Amino acid sequence: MTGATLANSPLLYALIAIGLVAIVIFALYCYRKARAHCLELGLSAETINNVVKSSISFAIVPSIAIMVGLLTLSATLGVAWPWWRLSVIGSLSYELMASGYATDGMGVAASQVLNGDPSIFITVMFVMTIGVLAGPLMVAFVAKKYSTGIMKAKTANEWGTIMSGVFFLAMLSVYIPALLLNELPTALTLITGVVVMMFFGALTKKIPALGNFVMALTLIITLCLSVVWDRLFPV
Amino acid sequence: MKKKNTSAPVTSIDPFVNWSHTTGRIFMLCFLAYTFVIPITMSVVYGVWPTMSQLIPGVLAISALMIPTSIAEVASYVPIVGSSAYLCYATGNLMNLKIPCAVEAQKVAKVEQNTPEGDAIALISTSISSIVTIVILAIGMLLLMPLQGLMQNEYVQTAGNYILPALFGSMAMGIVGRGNAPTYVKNKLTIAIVPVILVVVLSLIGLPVLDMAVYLILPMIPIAIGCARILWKKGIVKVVPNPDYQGSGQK
Repeated sequence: MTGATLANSPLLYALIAIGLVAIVIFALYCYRKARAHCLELGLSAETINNVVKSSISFAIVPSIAIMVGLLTLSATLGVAWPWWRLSVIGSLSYELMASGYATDGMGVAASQVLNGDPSIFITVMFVMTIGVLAGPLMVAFVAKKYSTGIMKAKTANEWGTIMSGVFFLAMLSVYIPALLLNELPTALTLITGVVVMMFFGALTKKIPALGNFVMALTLIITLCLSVVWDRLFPV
Repeated sequence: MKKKNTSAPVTSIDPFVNWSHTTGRIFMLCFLAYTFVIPITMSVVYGVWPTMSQLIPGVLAISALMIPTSIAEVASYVPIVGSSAYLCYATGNLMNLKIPCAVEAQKVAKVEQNTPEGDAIALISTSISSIVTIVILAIGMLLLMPLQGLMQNEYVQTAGNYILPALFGSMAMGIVGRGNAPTYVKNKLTIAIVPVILVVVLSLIGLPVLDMAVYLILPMIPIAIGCARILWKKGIVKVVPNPDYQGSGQK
């Protein structure tokens, strides 16, 4: 028995499928409740449908990128485990790091996860599961107080309104200069995203139906052009 | 003298927001328990368990990285997605999908973050985007062999490396405009001047600011709040009626 025996086990696929079905059911339940509440708050069904269309179209492109990540990870971890990790709790960068730390910690090569003793694969599963706990646990225990505190501050006075918008601004004020000061293709891709977004913003005023798909279309065009920048200005 | 906002102050939590947090918290804890059910079941069935000497080095190494990362992420992401944070965290892929998708959904619905409407819209967006990712990955897994050629295509792989700048480029316009709320924060970009200068300086002295971005957000939040407070006191940053307001996405 090797790690591959466990990685390709029908039991593992079954456990993952059960988990994913449960999450889809919970997501649908949340959707129904949130939709009903939006209608209660006076938002129109058309607006909610536009949000749904926008979210579906927006999610497709990054999901395909995650699919590429699944292929990357499948070389060292098999298909089933990365399928679980990337469908739910993880992200490609975290999974690559966590599996790398797990194998480094055991002093084995990445290839041994599938070809070596099955305890290596099991250890990798546990390390990846334990390692990601901090964020979800913090959310479980502090998100309510933190989020509702900001919500209350927002309506308390003018300062609350200003402060509640600062978090998003702080995030962008770190990432945007960091990306612009990175390699040229990265900076050009960001600028392309801004220009394409401006173009679609103007176009949407003439064709309002385009509004729900602006982000998805911007992302597709920007990513296509990122390949051009990458080829023109190789790093 | 305190300047008053036009909307009524919230003294109690909106019932839906309260429900969303309570349900989300229960779901999160059940979900985390299930993430352990998988490796434990595999260990029990196959009779293979990790030893402490195998487990501890990897856990310590990844935790040393993930604990500060998580503090920074929770501090910056929760105010954006509100009570949908539980589903966001459970379904992962935050910065490359869930957060920008929720921000875009709030824009489409013309609602503000940190309001009951903004929370509900973020939850709709997170639910839908989570399902889309799960479905696409399930289809992709079933079609792994035929799709392998396409996914390993060098252009697809190259484009995949530029998701983050493409997303931030698309989102950047969101901070320039006045938005769709009845009021907007005038001169809000001035709040970002000091954080941006600090990031540029850190980059110029040779720090890998992009690799450290998630950690840099943590000090930048209080710095930006401090800047906003000073600029508000001086009357440079203020909340004013939005001339572009055309009504929210209400009936």
